[in-house]
Amino acid sequence: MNTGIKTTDIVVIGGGIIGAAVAYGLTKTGSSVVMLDEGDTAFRAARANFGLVWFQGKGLGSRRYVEWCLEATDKWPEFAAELFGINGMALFYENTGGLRLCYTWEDFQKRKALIDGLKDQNGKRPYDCEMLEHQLVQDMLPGVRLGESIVGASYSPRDGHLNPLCLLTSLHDCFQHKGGRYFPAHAVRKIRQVNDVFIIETGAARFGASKVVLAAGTGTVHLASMLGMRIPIQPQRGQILVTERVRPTLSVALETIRQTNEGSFLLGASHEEVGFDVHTSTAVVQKIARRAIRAFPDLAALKLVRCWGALRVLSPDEMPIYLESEEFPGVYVVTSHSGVSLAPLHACHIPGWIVECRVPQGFADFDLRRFHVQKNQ
Amino acid sequence: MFKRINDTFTDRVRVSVEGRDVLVAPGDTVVAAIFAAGKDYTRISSISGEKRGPYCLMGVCYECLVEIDGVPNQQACQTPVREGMRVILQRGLRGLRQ
Repeated sequence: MNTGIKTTDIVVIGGGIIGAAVAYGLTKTGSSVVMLDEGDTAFRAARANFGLVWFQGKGLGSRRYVEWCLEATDKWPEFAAELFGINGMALFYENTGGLRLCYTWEDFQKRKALIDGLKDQNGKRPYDCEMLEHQLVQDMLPGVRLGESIVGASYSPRDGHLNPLCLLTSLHDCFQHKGGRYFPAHAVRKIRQVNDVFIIETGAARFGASKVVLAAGTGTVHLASMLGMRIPIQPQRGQILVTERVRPTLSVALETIRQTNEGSFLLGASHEEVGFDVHTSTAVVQKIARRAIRAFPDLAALKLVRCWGALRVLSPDEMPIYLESEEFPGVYVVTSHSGVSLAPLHACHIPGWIVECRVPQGFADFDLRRFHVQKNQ
Repeated sequence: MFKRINDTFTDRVRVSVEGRDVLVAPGDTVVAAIFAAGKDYTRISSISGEKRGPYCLMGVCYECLVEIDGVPNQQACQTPVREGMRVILQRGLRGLRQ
């Protein structure tokens, strides 16, 4: 067993889309960066998500979060080009516009109230989302027949989608290309501070760093507790269905139905409080399939190829948590359920905050004080 | 290219492959009909444009996709032949309404 310590400027714990985006961004600051990944037994939301780059509907109650989401969607095209410029890997990112279907009039009114609330919250600045009734929604989707019972949808031109597996692969590739060191199968067992250095112990090796970023999804709770922090994130299960491949037909991304670049339809969604259970269930699979067929009856002819369950990493208000430990300055927590949508900001603003102490304006809105919880137990 | 080892079956099932009739044995899968028609591929890949054909012959590789009686993306190795079946090679992806 190697008893030596691998030293580096910064250790990022977590190799998912958030960890990899932060780690990649950190390599651009000139710091030496190590990224540690748990392995195949981790929950791995990075590999199980729907692939939406989504703006609409988020952030009622926080104008700052709406601005954060808006900035992220604005930066996505240039971020995709930046990664592509490094390694030539396509992300299949498309700003297709996004629809969130309403299946009943009640649903439509409820959605309209949410969007109106977000418009009011935005004050003088326009909030790019409109309610469309059935025919206008059908007009946006010339290649596919919209189910008769669909009342309408909310539409935003800012939404889109990408291939999340390509994004994760590319972030890892760009990270290593820029000199970052990646260690898979290195689950962290212990973090402690000795003088000014954080010692991180995995089963296979020890690391010493002056800064540590906890970006391990649901695993962040346990890691943070090693340093006296109580992070209030909970798992929420979503199930996703995949159909056989079809010629490109659906040109817009829907919140629960999208066609991938390879031609499969991904169908969602569910929001289940079942703890750390990633099984699929017949009842939910049926419900997702029925709702998809109500939206687009022609989907009924397709075969389902696979389905899976995965865990969203949710804070109580569904907004990110970004904080630096008060007891252990130099330890950062970066967690959100929108790792795909927010990737451009996780790759630029978060590294700037960590390395140069450039705190984005209004960043305090994202720490724990908003929950009025005890930070230490 | 593929030749049947034992040609002495008496029950015969007539299947049409790309418009050409072949005779196969009851219990054969559609792969046998495709081979009997002199073809070693079932489709043109939507990604590479290559000819792709049966590989694992046990339903896990999804290479032997073919259109049977108007329904695309059928695994030839998992489908037993039926009298009068019409098999068409698959060119690229299926449409949503077929």
